[in-house]
Amino acid sequence: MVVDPRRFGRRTLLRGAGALGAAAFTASLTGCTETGAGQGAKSGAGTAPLLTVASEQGSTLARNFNPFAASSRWAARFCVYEPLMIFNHVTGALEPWLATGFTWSQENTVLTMKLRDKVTWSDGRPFTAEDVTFTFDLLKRHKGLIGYATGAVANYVEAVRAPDAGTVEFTFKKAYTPALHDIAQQLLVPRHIWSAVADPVTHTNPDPVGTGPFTLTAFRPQMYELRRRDGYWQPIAIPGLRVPTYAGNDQINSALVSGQVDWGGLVPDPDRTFVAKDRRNNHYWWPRISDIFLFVNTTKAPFDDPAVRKALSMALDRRKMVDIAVWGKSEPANAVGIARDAYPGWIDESLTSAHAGLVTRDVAAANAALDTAGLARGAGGRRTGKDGEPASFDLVVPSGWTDFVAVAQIVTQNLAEVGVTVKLRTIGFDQWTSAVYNGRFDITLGPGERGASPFGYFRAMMSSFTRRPVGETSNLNFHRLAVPEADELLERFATVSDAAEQRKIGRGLQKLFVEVFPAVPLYEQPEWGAYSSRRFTGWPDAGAPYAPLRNSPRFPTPLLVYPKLKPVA
Amino acid sequence: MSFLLRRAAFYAVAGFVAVTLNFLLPRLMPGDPATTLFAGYADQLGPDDLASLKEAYGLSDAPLLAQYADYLRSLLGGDLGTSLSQFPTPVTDLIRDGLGWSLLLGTVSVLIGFTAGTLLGSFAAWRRGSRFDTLVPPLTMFVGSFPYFFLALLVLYLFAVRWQALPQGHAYGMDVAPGLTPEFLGSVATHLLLPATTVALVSVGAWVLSIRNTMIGVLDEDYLTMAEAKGLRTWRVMGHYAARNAILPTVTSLGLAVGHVFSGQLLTEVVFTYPGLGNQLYAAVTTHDYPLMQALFLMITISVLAVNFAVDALYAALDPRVRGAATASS
Repeated sequence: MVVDPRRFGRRTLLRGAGALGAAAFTASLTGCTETGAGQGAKSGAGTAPLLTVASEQGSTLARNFNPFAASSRWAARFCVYEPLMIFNHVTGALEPWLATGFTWSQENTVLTMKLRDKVTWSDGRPFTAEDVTFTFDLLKRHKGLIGYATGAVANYVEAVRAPDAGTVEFTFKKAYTPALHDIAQQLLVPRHIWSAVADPVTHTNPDPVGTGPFTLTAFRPQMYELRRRDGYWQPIAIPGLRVPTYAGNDQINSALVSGQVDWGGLVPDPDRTFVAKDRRNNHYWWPRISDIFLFVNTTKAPFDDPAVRKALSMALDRRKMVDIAVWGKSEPANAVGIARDAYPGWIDESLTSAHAGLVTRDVAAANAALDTAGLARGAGGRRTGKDGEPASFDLVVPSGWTDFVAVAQIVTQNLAEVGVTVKLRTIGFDQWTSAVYNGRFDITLGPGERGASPFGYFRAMMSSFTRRPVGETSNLNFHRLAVPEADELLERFATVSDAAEQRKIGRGLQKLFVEVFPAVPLYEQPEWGAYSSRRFTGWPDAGAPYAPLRNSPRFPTPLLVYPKLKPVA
Repeated sequence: MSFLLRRAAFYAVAGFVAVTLNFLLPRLMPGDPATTLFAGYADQLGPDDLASLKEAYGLSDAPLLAQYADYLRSLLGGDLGTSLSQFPTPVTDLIRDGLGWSLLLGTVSVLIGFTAGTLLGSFAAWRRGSRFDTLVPPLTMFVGSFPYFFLALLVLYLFAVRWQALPQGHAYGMDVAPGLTPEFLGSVATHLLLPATTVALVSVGAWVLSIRNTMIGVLDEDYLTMAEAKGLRTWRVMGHYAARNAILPTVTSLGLAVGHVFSGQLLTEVVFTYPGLGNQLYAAVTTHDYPLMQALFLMITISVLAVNFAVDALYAALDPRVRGAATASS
């Protein structure tokens, strides 16, 4: 058949284009129809405003409220489901939540938690010890569920029992007290619903039922809403939350600055770009709970030598890093790599002051130390390796991480001043994780572990538990270093539950850290948090530091904030 | 007929090559999905937990050839797989969410650019040498040569942040429930205005130039002199006699422009947080989401191939010489 040209007039063609537009429009409507879960999804004029949180990033949101999934919605982990207790890293306290308290047995092998009375699930059913045992059983039976207790359940917990409806008992294979924080913060799911779920790994849990203060009332691919529910175990004054998604930080910041967002995260140079726009209402608070480190690959010469790591450290200008990377809103790191606000009372001040020279810029001392370590200066003042060959190292950081890139530039300048040639390479984030997690790099930057006690931090820094051979994935021990003394100290730490005794062992670990110097502490990393008091008050800040301000933190601390917030009348 | 058949065969081969490249390209990128996916949980998981998660999420270390066979098999069954970055949501669900918005944004911006460009270009040609003609086409070319990212951010800053006249992003307002209501349609329109206009601004220069140049050729034709001699009104001569004849070559480029809707507006969607496929592609690439990337690349290549085929067919229909050449050579 030959197409008859006369049947394809120009007019037809143009009309066809119009029809295509109309079809596209209809498709866009049917693709995005309202999928609200309950009634009450209406909002806007006439009702009290919802608290808008900028905590979702990405293109379109998939309706996944599975609290065990790597890619579930923010609200599943910070609004709907609750843990037994919450570690408040601003006060250092383990706050009672669904459990009112805990006790350890004599040998620290049995942990007993007492549950709060009159807690209900959002469908009205009571919350009992059965739900707790069920959740931990679920974690044990299904590999691939992510939770705070995933590691503890796989490695240490032998049995979880409910002697009565208000008590749960965790029995350990052997004493391992750091598991307290992992177990206490595990988000709990209702047995009467999840026992019917065939595969919890792939379950999307579109209509979550939790013990938390809010329930999902509307879900659209670009935004979802949660409303305060009846029967929550403590009073809540705010009517609910609205969670839009944003393509990235730039979009979040412009929404925050123009007053559309009540609770946000990182605002670059906040005094100038955010606070100055509305001094009365725009605020930020950046407590510091972890350090940024320079990690060197200790499986490669000359980085296997502690003296070299210390010499490099003395060449670095930390004040300049703080000024450029975090707008002067932080402090250079101390010699043990523990941020000042992180673990109140843990830092051995006499040790950090005695070793302050390790983290203070002193070019002459750095040069002398490098000379002693056998890295002689060659042509053009450039140092060679111990084998006499010219040495050059790559420093990799994820492109787009502007603070890391700025710090990396300072590092390369500082090290060039002492004759060490370092080339900065910015690579994609996924390329970076792959290189660094598998030990295929020379030098990089990264954060220290941010656990509930320094145990996790030191275990990541120098234990054989986290160290893997090059090529095997280790997400914690980038630099690939382990010392037997650290293993011994950590082992002892894990068997005691007394805080004073743990602190004493912690001092031993700090002493070991300044000797071995597994990684180079640079500066204390602020926890980004910004808020507007235009519609809601009662936020945590430097004047009322009752909880961290960060809305996507390491721990479920936003739950501590909701009960304190009040709508502005 | 044989011309169309041969074109169809060519597109089938091109389609197969595209499908294979779709499979290979994401895997040639440095990095792997597992470490990216679990990087956010580094503090919560030990190295051993990571291995069991990899297994549960179906991230295989199988040889590339075996993975390729799996991929072809599921593709033939219409199964595009499960997204990794939004695990365990099926890729088709994600695409369904974004497709409508991408088509809407693409069609509207192409139509705005095409209509404005055709009007401005034909007017400039009609008033050849006038002040309008010396100013407007260079101006549109100037705007069009701006880096798109810069232009979009500038427009976003001025209209949405500084003056707050238009929304900063998303496809419709937070307070409007989707449905066929005037509020919703109005909200969709205001949210569409900035992204569609910026795309149109960048593309309008090309349309202006192409219609202006063809129209100048048409204006010398005898039938125009004839039309003027008949005493027809200027607008009628310009619109019905000159522009309609000059528009033909432009219409074929219009088809191609629609074909590039998905790939071309990635930046627009990212800047304006528009929930389309471009935004999803960006997210998929940054999170190493192989299945989502593959599906989106597949959609892009298939739509470009399909539109090209349609244009070929149209050419054959519109221009007898194309068919003649095909028959002569066979």
